[in-house]
Formats: sequence, C-alpha cells, structure tokens
Amino acid sequence: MTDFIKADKATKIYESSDIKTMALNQASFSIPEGSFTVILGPSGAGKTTLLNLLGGMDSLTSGHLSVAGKDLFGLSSRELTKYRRTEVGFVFQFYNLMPNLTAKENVELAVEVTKDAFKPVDILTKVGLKDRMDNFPAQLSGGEQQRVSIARAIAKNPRLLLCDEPTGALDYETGKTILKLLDDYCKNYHKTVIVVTHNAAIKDMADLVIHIRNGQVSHTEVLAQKKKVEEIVW
Amino acid sequence: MKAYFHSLVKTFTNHFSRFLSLVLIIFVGICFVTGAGGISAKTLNSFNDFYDEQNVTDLIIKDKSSTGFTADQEQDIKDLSFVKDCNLTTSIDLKINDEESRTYVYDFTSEINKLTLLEGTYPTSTSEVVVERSSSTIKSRKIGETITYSGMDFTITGIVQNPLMLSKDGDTSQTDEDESLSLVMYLDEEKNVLPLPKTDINILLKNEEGYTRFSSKYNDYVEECKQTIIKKEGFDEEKVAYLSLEQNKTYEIVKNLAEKVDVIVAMFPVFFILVVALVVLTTMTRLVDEERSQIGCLCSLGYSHFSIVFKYLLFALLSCLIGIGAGLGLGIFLIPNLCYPAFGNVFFLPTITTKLSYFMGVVSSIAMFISVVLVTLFVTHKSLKETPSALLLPKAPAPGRKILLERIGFIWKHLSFKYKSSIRNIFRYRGRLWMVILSVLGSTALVMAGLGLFDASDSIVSINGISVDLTSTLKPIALMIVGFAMALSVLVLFNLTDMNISERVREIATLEVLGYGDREVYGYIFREVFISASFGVALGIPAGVGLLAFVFIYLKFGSLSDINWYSYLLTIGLSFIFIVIVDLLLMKKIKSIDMKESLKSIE
Repeated sequence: MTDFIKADKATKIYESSDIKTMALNQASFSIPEGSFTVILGPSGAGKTTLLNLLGGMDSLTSGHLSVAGKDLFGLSSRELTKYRRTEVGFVFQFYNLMPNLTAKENVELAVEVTKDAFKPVDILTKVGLKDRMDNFPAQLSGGEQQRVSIARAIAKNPRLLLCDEPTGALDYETGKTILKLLDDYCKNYHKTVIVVTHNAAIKDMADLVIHIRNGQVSHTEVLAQKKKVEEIVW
Repeated sequence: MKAYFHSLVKTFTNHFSRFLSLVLIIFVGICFVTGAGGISAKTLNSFNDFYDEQNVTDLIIKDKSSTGFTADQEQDIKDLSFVKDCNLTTSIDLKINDEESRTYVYDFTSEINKLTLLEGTYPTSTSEVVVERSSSTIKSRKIGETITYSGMDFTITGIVQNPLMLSKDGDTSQTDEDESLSLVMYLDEEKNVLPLPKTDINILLKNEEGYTRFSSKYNDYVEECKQTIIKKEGFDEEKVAYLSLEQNKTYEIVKNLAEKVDVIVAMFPVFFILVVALVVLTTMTRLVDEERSQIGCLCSLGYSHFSIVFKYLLFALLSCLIGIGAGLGLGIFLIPNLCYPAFGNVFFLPTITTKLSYFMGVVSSIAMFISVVLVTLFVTHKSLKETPSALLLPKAPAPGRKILLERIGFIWKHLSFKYKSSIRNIFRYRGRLWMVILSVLGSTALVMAGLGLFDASDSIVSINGISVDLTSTLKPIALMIVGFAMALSVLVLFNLTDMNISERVREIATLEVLGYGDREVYGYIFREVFISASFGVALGIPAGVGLLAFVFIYLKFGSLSDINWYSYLLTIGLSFIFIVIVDLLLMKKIKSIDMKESLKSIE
C-alpha cells in the first residue's frame, strides 16, 4: 500500500506579537490510502493544528505534508482552496450546517462546487435520512444533524475524510452510529478517513493511531486486530 | 467586575465597524437636520442684522397728494413715545425719457436708511447725483454719465446701495405696481435746487423688545404704532400711504423664500431622522441577538439586568452622543454658510450673520437621543426576559418554512442553487428584511427627491418672480440634499452588509472549509444584500416621488413632470454603485475571516 499521506517534520509555529507558540513540532508519520486513522491526544496537544494542516485550512511553517502526492507546504491560498474543494471532506464537531437550508440543500451546498460528486439524495438515503431530507437543521436531532454533515462531506466524493471530534457533541449510542457510518465509508469506498479525538476508546476501531503529545507525534500504533464499532465501549 | 469590564470592552472592539457606522449615520442625520433647519434663519438673521446696521425704517408715511410734510409734522412724529427717530425725504416716481424712474432727495449724512457707497463719491455740487446699483431691472449706468431731469443735466458721481433694495429684481414703481424702476437716483438734500416737496416721513421705531423684523410680533408691533399715529396725528388715509416692511419688495421676497425653504427643510429632516432611527433599531436588535450567549453568560454569573442593559445602552449612547455632538457642531456652521450664497442669485447679500440657529438641531438631537435610549432598552429588555439557560443556547432559528416563491414551482426550479439559498436567507427573518428594505427605501427616496427637486428648480417655467427666485435658490439646496442622502445611503448599506458579515462568520468559515473560493463566498453574502437592497431601491423610487409631490404641493411650485427621466435612472444607478462600493470596502473583512472559526464551539 502506498502512503496516501506523508508528513515529514511538519512544523507549525504561531506567532503573535512577541510570543511564539510551537503548535506542531516536526511531526513525521505516514498514512496508507483507504485506512481508518485516529489522531489521539489530550486538549492542546496539537491535534487541531494537525487537522487544520491536513484540511488545508492553515499552512506549514516548515517541513512537508503531502496528501495524494501533493505537498501542501508553500501552496497559495488559491491552491489550498482547490485542494479543500476536491480532496477533502470535513466533518465538524458542531455540524456547521446552514440553518436556513434543508438537509438536502445543505448537501447540495457542497456538491455545488465539486465535479465528481455523488447525488445528494443517494447519499442522504445511505446515511438513513431519506425521510428527513426536506427538514431544516433545527428540526433534526443532534445525531441526524451530524449525519447530514457527514453526507455533505461524503457527497463531494473526497479521497480524504477529516473528522473533528465527530462524536463530541453526541450521546453514546448516537456517537456509535456516526462512527459506523465513517467506518463504512472507509471500507466500502476505500477512502482514507481520519478522526481527530481525545476519546481513547475510539482508537480500537482504527487501523492506525497517531498519538500526539506536546505538539509532537509521540508514537504511532498499527492495530492488527481492530475492533468493530459495535465492540468498542467508552 | 473584571469579567464584566472585559465583555464591555469586547462588545466595542468586536463591533467597532458597526459602532463607527452608527456614529457616522447619526452624524450625517443630525448634521443635515441641524444645518438645513438653520438655512432660512441664517438668511433672515443676516438681513435683520443688515437692517439694524443701516437703520432701515420700520414705517414710511407717504404723501400721495404731493403737497408734502412740514418740519412741524416731522417733529410731532419724533415726539411720539415709540418713535426712536425720523426724517423727511423726497421720493417721486415718474417716467423720464420713457424710463420708470425714482428720484430721491436724500440726506446722505442721515443715519436713517443709510445708503452704502459702492463706487465713486457722493455729489459735491447741485448738478451731481448718485444712482442705485444695476440689477435685472435697474439699468446699468457709469460714473460720469449725465441724466436729464426736470430740464437739468445731472452727472453721476457714484453708485449706491439702498438698504431697502437688496432684491436683484429692483423695485416696483409706486405709481404703477406693474412697472419696475429702471432708474433710481439720489440728489443731495443740501445742494438741491429743485422745488420738490418732502413726500416721505421715514420712521424708525423703538424696538425695545428686540423683535426681529421677520417675526409676526414685529409686524403686529408696527401695525400697532401705525394705528396710534393715525389716531394721534390724524393723517388722512386717503391722502397718505403707510408703508411698512411688509410692502417692501425685498422683504417680501426674502420672507417668502425663507418660508418655502423651511417647508422643504421640515419634510426632508423628518424622513432623515426616521431612516436614522430605523437603522439604530436594526443595528441594536441585531447586536443584542448576536451577543445573546454573552448576555446569558453574564446573567448566569449573576450580573444584574441593569449592568447588562447598561452595556448596550453605553454602546448606543456613546455612538449617539459622538454622532450628535459632531453633527450639531458641523451642521450649525457648515450647511447654512454653504447655502447662504445660494440666495445671492436673488439678492445683493448682506454680510452673513454670526448668529447661530440651532432650534432644529437641538429638537432633532433630543428626539434622536430619546429614541436611541428607548430602542436600546426595548431590545435588551426583550432578550433579558428569556431565562439565562435559554440565552446560552443559540437562538432557535425561525422554523424552516417554504417561502411563497417555492410554491411557484416553475420559477423555483429554474433558480440556481445559489439564488435559492440567498432567497431563503432573505425571507428567513421577515422583520429583519423589512428593516433592511425600509432603511434602503428611505435613503433611496431621499436621493430621488433631492434629484427631483433639483430638476424642478432647473426647469424654470415660472409664473411670477417668486418662483424664479425660488428655483435659483433651491438648486444648491437640492444638491446639498442629494449629497447628504447619498452619504446616508452608503452608510446604511455599509452598516447592513457589515452586520450580515459578522452574523455569518461561522457560515463563511464553513463555506471556506468546504472549498468555496473567495468570489463564491463574497457572492453568498453580497447576493443577499443586493437582492434585499433592490427591493428597497425599487420601493424607494415611488416613495421619493411621493415625498416630492408633498413638497411641491406645499411649495405651490414645481410638478412631478419636471423630473427628468434620467433622474430615475440616476437614483437606481447610484444605489447600485453604492452597493458595489460597500461590497468592495467589506471584501477585506470577509477575506480576513479565519476558517478556524468554523471549528469553534457554538458560543
């Protein structure tokens, strides 16, 4: 399996007036295509920074980070926009749905700017929202909203699905159905899924776990015997 | 207390552009109203000051029989308790060489109706005269020219200004009201050899109450004095005429003009203030809505309702006070001083007075202040009625509902997705949409009405002198109205767009994460403002025309057909130019939104 993502001494330093913050310090790792990866670490460890870099929402200070053969270091903001548009699907902790658009329209919002997109109706059916398509976010439960958010990310048919604490705002049972959806996408479409979380229990379902501590990759862990979503407990 | 202070400062720093636009909108409104309200007062005061300086007569008793008055009669008048001073002059209107002419025999040293020597010198011999300066009816004459009168030749030695003839239309003949004087000459009383009777008693009244000459109290006072003179001196009203300032042409024109200007000035400011008040209402409502979680936080921390209300009251009051202060300060000086020369088309203008008239300014400032306080109290009170726990949750969005347009399937289906989304957004909060429409409507209407007023004053199809005078005076005033209305339009649009952006930070950040490019994100925000502002513009045109119709009816001048077709287009064009300008100004703000805002927890 070739490395879909390769980080080589990826470093991010935030500078504000005279304080320099080393948010990510020479992180190196690689993630194979089609794997389910969990980036794990406590709050403030640098997970979100790594997520931002992977998602093309921020640029590296030094080092390299290549996704699908493209080095993100030094990309212009226009190139980063194109990268986000074509390569990445993003699932937010707080869903970030447009409140004035129906579930279907929220998915259309993403499809609008991509070429090889799936049909919104098909995707919503797959995530189990066939009958809720014309509802507005305010009329949906948290889990349903997160499913819309996932549908929106998947509909773009991205090679990389980035999820920021996708279960963070959900109850246990709902959280598990969401994880199942993400796992299915990974398996059925052979797409790379990365979940960023501080919930250590989730790592049991991953192919690969990247542990982040104090802005550094403390170690990576390849799970030979990964659990099914149904089996994990937290 | 530290948390409170912190949140107080944050409200100001986070919403600084909104604070600034609120200040500017109030400034423009108050500046206009203060200034416009002072135009006529400034003009009338300037004339009044000049009349004071030149000791212009309050009453002239004119002998119609041409026997004239005697020195005894003059003394009798002088002895009256309410008379300050009086003198006798001769003024005879008759045709000389087919020209309507007036001849004065004048005491050039007298303080009453003091002439101003503009050119040359006063006469030094019996065969010399000075003449009134030329105007649209009084013929221009040069020093050294001779005039033949009563068989004598007189040489002109100087040009003078009679304080009672400031109108550029000159004066009408006293023998024939339809005739304008084309020559007014002044013989020196001391050197006069012609046997002419003293036809006029020029009376200067004691004005102990300090009435200004354009007030009705003044005219009542003059009338009262006149009646006393009739009773005591027994001048026969058949043989004499009593002329007060009300019979003076200049006085009549200036008073009439000032009244008309006041009518316009009363209509436009009302509109201005309404628009500004509406903008303040919108801004404060949306500010409080946006900060509801902060309010909830302060509430749950145990801060009193007063301290929370105080925060927003401070925001509104500070912007209000700065706006009012600057508006009053600049408006009082700037606009009346800029508009005063406009009256120069009609009059030989006296020096502008230094007296300030701030009546309209003070009234509108107080009205503005009170409405800002009430609006803010109302808006914050509404939020505080909810429980802190409810406030901590994001406001439940208006339940998603199909808008009317969606039911018209064939239109809705053909709309691109971008427009569907924008249109939904627009109709999501109807109250807010109405406020946007009304404020854009108001400012557009003001531009339209200003341009229409300009057109009407440009098309001089007038019936009488007053109309001609009015048109030439109104033109600069109309331009000033247009200028202020344009400034208001830009500010209103800026404020609305700015609010739209700061309410949508999270949505914008999300779109960016989804891979929307800069232009697509701009489109998402600006399309909405554009569509809702278009409704405002579309309704603003008829509203402006309606406002103008009112002005025309009250002015008894101008008609809607005077409005040029391109003024309609210009109003629409300008509105869209303003939208583009505002969009360009605010692009940076959108671009500076950090995508990472999308990851933050919901406030």
